[in-house]
Amino acid sequence: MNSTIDNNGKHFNRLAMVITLLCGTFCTVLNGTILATAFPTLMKTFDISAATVQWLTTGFMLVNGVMIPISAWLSTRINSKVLYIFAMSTFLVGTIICYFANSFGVLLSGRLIQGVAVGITMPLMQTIMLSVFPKEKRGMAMGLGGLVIGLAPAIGPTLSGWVIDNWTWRDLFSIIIPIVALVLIVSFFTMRPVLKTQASSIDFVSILESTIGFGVLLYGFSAVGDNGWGSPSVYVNIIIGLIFIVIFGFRQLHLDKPFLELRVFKSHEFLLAAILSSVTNMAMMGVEMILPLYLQTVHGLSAFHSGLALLLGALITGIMSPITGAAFDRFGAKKLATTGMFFLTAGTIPFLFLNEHTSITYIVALYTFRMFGISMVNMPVTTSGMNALPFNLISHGTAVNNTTRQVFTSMGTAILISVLTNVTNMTKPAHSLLKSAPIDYKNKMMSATLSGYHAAFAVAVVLCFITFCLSFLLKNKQTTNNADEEVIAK
Amino acid sequence: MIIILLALFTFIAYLGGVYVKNRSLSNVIRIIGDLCLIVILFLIVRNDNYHLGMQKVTKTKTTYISAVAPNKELPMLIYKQLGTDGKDKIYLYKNGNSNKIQHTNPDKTINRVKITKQKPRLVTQKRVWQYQNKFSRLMFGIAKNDNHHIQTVNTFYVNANWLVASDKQMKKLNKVFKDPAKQKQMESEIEQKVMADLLQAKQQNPQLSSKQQDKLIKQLTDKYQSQIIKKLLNN
Repeated sequence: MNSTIDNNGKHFNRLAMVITLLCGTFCTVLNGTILATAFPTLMKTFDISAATVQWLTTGFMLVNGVMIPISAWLSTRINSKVLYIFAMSTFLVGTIICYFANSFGVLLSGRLIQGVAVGITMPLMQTIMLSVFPKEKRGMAMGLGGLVIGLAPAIGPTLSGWVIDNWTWRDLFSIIIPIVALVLIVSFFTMRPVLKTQASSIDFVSILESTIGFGVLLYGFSAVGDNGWGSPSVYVNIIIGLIFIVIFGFRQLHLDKPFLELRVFKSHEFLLAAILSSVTNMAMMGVEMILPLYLQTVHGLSAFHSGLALLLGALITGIMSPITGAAFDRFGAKKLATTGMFFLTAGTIPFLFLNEHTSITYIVALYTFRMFGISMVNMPVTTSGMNALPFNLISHGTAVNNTTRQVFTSMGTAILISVLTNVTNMTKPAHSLLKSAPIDYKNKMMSATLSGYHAAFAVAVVLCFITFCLSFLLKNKQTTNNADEEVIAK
Repeated sequence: MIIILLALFTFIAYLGGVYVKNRSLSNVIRIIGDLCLIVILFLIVRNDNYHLGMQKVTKTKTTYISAVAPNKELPMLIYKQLGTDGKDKIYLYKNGNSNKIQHTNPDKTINRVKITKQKPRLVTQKRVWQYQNKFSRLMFGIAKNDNHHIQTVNTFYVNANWLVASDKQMKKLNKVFKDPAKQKQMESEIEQKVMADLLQAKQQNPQLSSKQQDKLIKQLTDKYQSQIIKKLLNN
């Protein structure tokens, strides 16, 4: 049954649309991490520092984060076919600019344009997936979305390492261009306006507040790694960001037609789902960030090989995501989430015992085990939260959920990275030892580095454990009932 | 094997915990699966950190060595000092008659030098972790942590005439050897001392045969030579 009716009452092929949507979004999300292993090459090509080159990813993430809250308004205002085609064209333009970039400035602007597109496609995909499938199939639909959101960023480093080793950095973009162009052409035929739209004027004050608020807050968190919490560029930005977000939130609650409907949080299930998926993401992304560092600094692996070590785990999430999604449709979120959180918590504890020569085989196995757990929690829990919302709030729910998750994830990553650096610095030997006994120095330095990792993983274990306890508050199989009356509608 | 068990019980716990409809049966399968997983994870950590299923094995290897220093009359065992507190040294030597210079690895290594009357040699006692039996190798072998290095004890057996010196001392010595004036001064100093001693010996024992005298001269020369070199090295 792949034929569905769109907003104009015309039949269309749902499967074709879903495939177009997934392929396009996959390409865009992939770009979040695709430059990771290309940084050294880019630094040489454009003669720039490591801090500068980092902006290709930081800037991308910031623009992406800022766009997500705006995407809710866009998708309720603009016909979804037009919006998707607009987003994919923007992305194509950004990618082409990156491909031809002859200076760092041009490359960065290409990346920022890409970031705008990803900020639209990712939530739009989730909203469409939730809208075109009936409630009892949403788990599977979101699972397919999870395949894209979970798998694409994890493939990035490995793919880019492989491309860089064999071709040039420009090919990181040239391989995407034809795929995106194809998706764009196909989407003229397969995409349909499926989301209900209404004429509403744009509230520029809200856009300004949310852009400054989330942009500055996310920037503040991203600066923790380099400057530490004590630096003004961190805490001043975080405070300013929070102030703007509070003002933004206050405004939303008093607008007749809110730009971003924050009342979705009134639904306890949505709130619980947002918290669960945020904390799970903190634990997941933080470890995804720290484990490659461990593999590179302690085991001396290259960025490419450390990405390869984590690839199996990513593939497992990709494969499992639709399967656990289907299981969610049959059994509800509670069983999946409690089992998955047990796997995640139990699978993180062994990382507290990492040593200088922990077998890579064990790391790959344990990481895969963790990711198996994550695939049982992330999308099913998000879906359960969405199911608690009435149909007309899904785009707002998606934007709120994604924004919350993004803020918590960057906070979690900042916490783990700073714990890692601080503990390492606290326990590392005096520099004079390097002169008097270099071998001792090497060993003590190694154990200091390891204590840093142990502390960071300990934080991750605590986060996992909290989520594990919270997951018992979820409901079993949800009755497809009265969500529409239950909440909000003003 | 341990990885296969991990995957197996993950699936059991997943299938039992999620798909089994009967609530009590589901809980039983899940609890058993989870407990087994905890045990498996515990075993992995024990194997990785505390070498579960492994034992310490000492491998001893003897290599006949020759000196690195070019001076035939004065064979030297050279070491390079790492750092200033004198704990870590790298020793240089040659294998048998080969000309390639070998060196010891300073990491987790203890070096000793002993005097022997036999051929000079290096005895390396390397202690490693090895699997106790086939079963533990089957269980954990996939981790590839067999033969993991614990500690190495290098014992150099050298003859009494060998000089053990650091690379810096060797350079100092080479300077003296290359300076003909200093060399001559050193030789005459040794000769004087030897002659003086010889005279004394003759007075004590006038019946000294020429063979005995020759032997005595050689002994005394060696003695004073090493004395003088030691003095040179230490200032």
